[in-house]
Formats: sequence, C-alpha cells, structure tokens
Amino acid sequence: MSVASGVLDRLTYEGASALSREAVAQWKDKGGKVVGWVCIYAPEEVLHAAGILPIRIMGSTEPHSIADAYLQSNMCPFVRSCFSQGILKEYQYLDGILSSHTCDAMVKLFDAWRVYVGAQFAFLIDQPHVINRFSYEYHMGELDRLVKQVEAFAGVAVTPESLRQSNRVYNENRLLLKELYELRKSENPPLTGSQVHDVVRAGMIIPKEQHNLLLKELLAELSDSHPPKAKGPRLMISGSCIDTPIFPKIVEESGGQVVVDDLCFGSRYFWDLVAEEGDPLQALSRRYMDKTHCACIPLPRDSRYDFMRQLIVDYRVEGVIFYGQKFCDPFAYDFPDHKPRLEKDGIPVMQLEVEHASVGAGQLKTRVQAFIEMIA
Amino acid sequence: MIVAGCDVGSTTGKLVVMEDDRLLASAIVPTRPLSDQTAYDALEAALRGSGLKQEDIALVIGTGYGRLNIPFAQRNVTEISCHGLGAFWADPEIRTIIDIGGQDCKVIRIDENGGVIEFAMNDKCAAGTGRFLEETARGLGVGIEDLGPLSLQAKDGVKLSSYCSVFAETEVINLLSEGIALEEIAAGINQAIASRLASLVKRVGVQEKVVITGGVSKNSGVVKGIEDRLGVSLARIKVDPQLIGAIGASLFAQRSAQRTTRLTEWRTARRWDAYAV
Repeated sequence: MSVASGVLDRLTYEGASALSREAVAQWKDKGGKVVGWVCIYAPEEVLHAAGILPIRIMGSTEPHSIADAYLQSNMCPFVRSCFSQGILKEYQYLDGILSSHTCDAMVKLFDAWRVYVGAQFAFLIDQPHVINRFSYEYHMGELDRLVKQVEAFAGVAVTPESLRQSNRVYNENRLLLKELYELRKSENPPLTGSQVHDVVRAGMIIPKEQHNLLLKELLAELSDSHPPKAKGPRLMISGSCIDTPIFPKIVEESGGQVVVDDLCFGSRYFWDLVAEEGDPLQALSRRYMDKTHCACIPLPRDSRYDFMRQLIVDYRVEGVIFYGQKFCDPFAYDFPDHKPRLEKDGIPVMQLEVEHASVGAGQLKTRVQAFIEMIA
Repeated sequence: MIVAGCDVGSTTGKLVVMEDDRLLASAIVPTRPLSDQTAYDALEAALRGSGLKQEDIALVIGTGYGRLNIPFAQRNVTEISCHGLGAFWADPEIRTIIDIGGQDCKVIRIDENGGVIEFAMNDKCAAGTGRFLEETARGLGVGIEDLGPLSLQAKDGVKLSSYCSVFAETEVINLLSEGIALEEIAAGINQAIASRLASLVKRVGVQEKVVITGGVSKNSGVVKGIEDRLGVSLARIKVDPQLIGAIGASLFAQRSAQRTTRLTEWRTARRWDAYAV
C-alpha cells in the first residue's frame, strides 16, 4: 500500500529511535542540555530558543507493570507507559521536564517524575481550560514565568530574535508535515497511516532542523512515486495520546486505511502555525491558546468538532474510530458530544476503550474488523 | 449452492451447512486448544450422517475468535456481522441481538437488511459472559446447565457482585458456608449476568424485536432476568440460538458465492460523496 523510500526507512519507529539516540548523544557531547516534554501544550519553542534540545517523553510498544508500584490504578495507560520508561532509566539523559496542566494525569506524571525519576529543571505550565480575554493574559504570564526559569537554567537569554528564529523553524516543520498530510487526500495515498504516525513521531524526538531536512527529502521522493491502488474504507482515528504505531497498524491489518487523524501524535501537534510578525512571545501564546484543541480544553465547545468535520470532508473519511484510553476522562466526555453530531452528518463512528494497544489485540481486531465490515 | 459457516468460539465450535436458505446439517463441539482442530471436529460432526461430503461444499466462511485459523475456510467475517445476518435470517423483524458467548458478550443493532448499524462489546473482562457462569457454577457445585432451572425456583435470589468472576466464585463459596439455599445463589448468579448485559444493551439502545444468541441463551434464568430488566420479551427463534453465528457466516458465504450482495448496495449508499458538503 505504500511506496519504497530510503528516507522512510530512517523514519520508522525503530529508525527514528536510533536517530534520536544519536542526536541526543551528539548534543550532550557538545555540552548541550536536553529537556523532555510530555504534552503538546508544553511550549517547546522556548527551550529551543534557549539552545536546549526538546525531546518528547513517550511510552514504549510493550506494557510495563512497574508504574503500578507508584501510580494509582486510575491513571491512563499513556501516563503509566511514559512513567515506566522513566523508572526503567530510558530517559537518564534528560536534564529536566516541561509539561502542562492539561489533564490531571499529566500533572500526576509531572509530580511523580520529579520525585521518582528526578529532574534538575521541572516546569509545569498552567494551560487555561477556558479561552477568553482573561485567560489570554494569564497564559502570557505563564510564558513569561517559563522564559525566566528556562533562562536561569540554561544560562542563556531568550531574546526576541532567538525566539523568532525558533518560531520560524517550528513553522517550517508544521508546513512540511501539512504538505505530507496533503498527499493523504489522494485516492491512493503514498504512505499508510502507521507510516505517517512514525514520521510525525520522529519529529518529536530529533532536532527540528534535522526533521525538516528529512521531511524535505521524503517529500521529494514521494513527489514522483506511483502508489498502488488503495483498498478498504478511508478512516480517521480520533483520541488522545497514541504514542506507538500499533493501533493504526491494527486498523490496516483489519482492512481499513487510516487517511487522517485527530491525535496529539498527529494533526493536533502541528496543524496550527505561529504568527511570525509582532512580538514572538505574544505570538507563541496566541498559538497555544487558539490552536486546535484537545478534549481537555472544552471551551469553546464547537471548535473541536468543526476541525474534525473539516478533516472528514477534506480527506473523504468514511468512518471515525474514537480511540479512548482507559481512564482518559476528557476524551470519554468528548465522545457523547461528537457521536450524535457525526451521526447527523452521516459518518459511522465506533468507540473503543483500550488499555495498552498491544494488550488484547485479538479483541481489538474483532471490533475494528466488524466496524470495517459495517461500513465497507 | 451448498455452502458452510464455521464459528470457532472460545468454548465451542459451531458449523452449519446450508443450501440457499435451508439448513442441511449442523454441529456444536467443544473447543480444543487449537482452532483448526476445533474446526475439523465441527466439520466432521456436522457431516456425519448427513449424507454430505466436504467436496459438496462450495465455499466456507469462518467467524469467531478462531476465524483466522480455519484451514478449510476461504474467507473470514467477524462474529459481529455474522450474528447480525444470522439473526436476521432467523427472524427478519429482529433489530437487536444480545450475544453471550464463552468469553465475551456483545449487543448488536441491525437495520432492515440485516446490516450492522451499531455494536458494543464487553471490555476485556469475563464478567457478563459464559465464563462467569462456569466459574460460579463450579463454586456452587452444580452443572452449568442446572443454573437456569435452579434459579427459577428461587424466592428472591441473593445479590452477587457482577464485576469479577473470580471474586464472584469466592462469594458463592461464602454464601454456601452461610447456609444460603442453592437456588437463591443460582438466581443471584443469573441476575448478576442479566444486569451486566442490560447495561450493555442500554449503551446501544433497545429496538424490538430483541433476540438472545450464543451459549448462554440456553440459561432460562438469565433470559428471564434480561427480559425483566429491559421490559421486553425476547424473541423465540426457529433454530438453536447457539448456531446463529455460524448461520450468519454461511449466509455470507452464500452471498459471496453469488456475488450479489445487499452489503455492496449499502456501501454505495454510504459513500462519502453522498454526505460531504
């Protein structure tokens, strides 16, 4: 279903992990600092502007029970998986952690990480959950506080020039990813959903500049490819943190195509640009406040559905799979709102409640296959 | 055309042979460790004494947990679609199917063509399934087939936890040691399943007629408990409700063989361009 590509081999799940290890080692050799971020509401651009390498903390492809010894049982599998990796010393190279108060599980992970994994630098940005003129001001104050602490930690000033430059690099990355997504609108997309998932994930764990170069190479390779005829209904996955390509692969193995997503390891990460004119910090704040939100930011209520609906139309989606992680309350509340709206628009939907995607794959496959049979 | 459907479930394997809409032969056999063994057992048992040979069967479709490992099946369809179509064949007025198998339970809503429009399944835990009955019946020291008749003799029935089948078995042993009558406990067991199932049905919505399929449909206590909770009477159908999945698979085989399907028409009607703005 996809085309052969040399760059793509380097951007697979394992390939990108290897690139990340190399990049981190080089960064550290030069005396640079590396800070981990967890949630896409963490403004990593500020780290970048201070010469710190931002790396997204994520879980692994296998479930680990070690987190059960530290976290209560109602924490989502994503947080458990991330925390396990910390405890298993997979993130020993990190000098700090930057996270945001998006959902309670994120806060819990941040707290537990500081205590049990340890972090020289730890900052939790308080992301407003309601968007209005008061909260715009409040978020700006949070960014100011972040800049000051990052500067103190890095020993480098975050100047308007350096931040503007970082914003530019991030925008370039977003535009390249959007160009890649554009190709998925085709009747026969050149990449599968799980491949795209890997490509997007790669950008979170290697330097943005390196990812931009790789994306340019990839887009050049794909520009004259002739993808084989695609099979199966065109589907969208919507949900919170899917940090491995396991689930998109399950959908593909069950006979569906994942042509677009509404995920923070996908479109929601890069969809919105930052304004390049005016005060760069102000622009950054507006970007995070006005971006395509996740279910944790419930107001304004309609914008999430409007975004999803636009993707459905643009990518000719024939069915939506809501991937709910166990104990993920924000998305569990999202579903009853979105389901009737989608049904009114004639889009078949299915909701899944999943532990780690690698557990109970047989049952998961039965449901996904039945959904595909239902709409195919 | 003679076709077959083979449903390899977690507890039993089912196989039916059909010609057009007619049931020619069927069998229910216990599941063995490997799906292909179960499938061959079921095939052999169904053909035995039927006057049919394997060569007479033009096409086989597999379904159930073991659907990918049935050597003589040409294709597989999930048990969800199969139960939908099978129940529709049994009674075209059926719109809601409650299927309680050995290790899962599902509620399926179908349209006026037997196509699935919505479904819900238990999440990765055996509560509300046949396994729950097996565990608790064992604790009670009676056969699983006795649970239904026993429970119907109860006055009130005891309250049992409906969530964990392992804990429920412990509870059963405790109740026995307290001297509670067998039939009261049996009623508690059946009510626990019925209440789990009723919540699952409410997630999808009840639309009559409602039918119950799968092995647990043979437990009269569970059936009555579900009827009471949902306030509907469950449809009685002309065949063994445990065979519905296999029948659905064989109907898919029939359609596949004839290459004319309502499903294709359904898909065409649902194409994105029909509803995109």
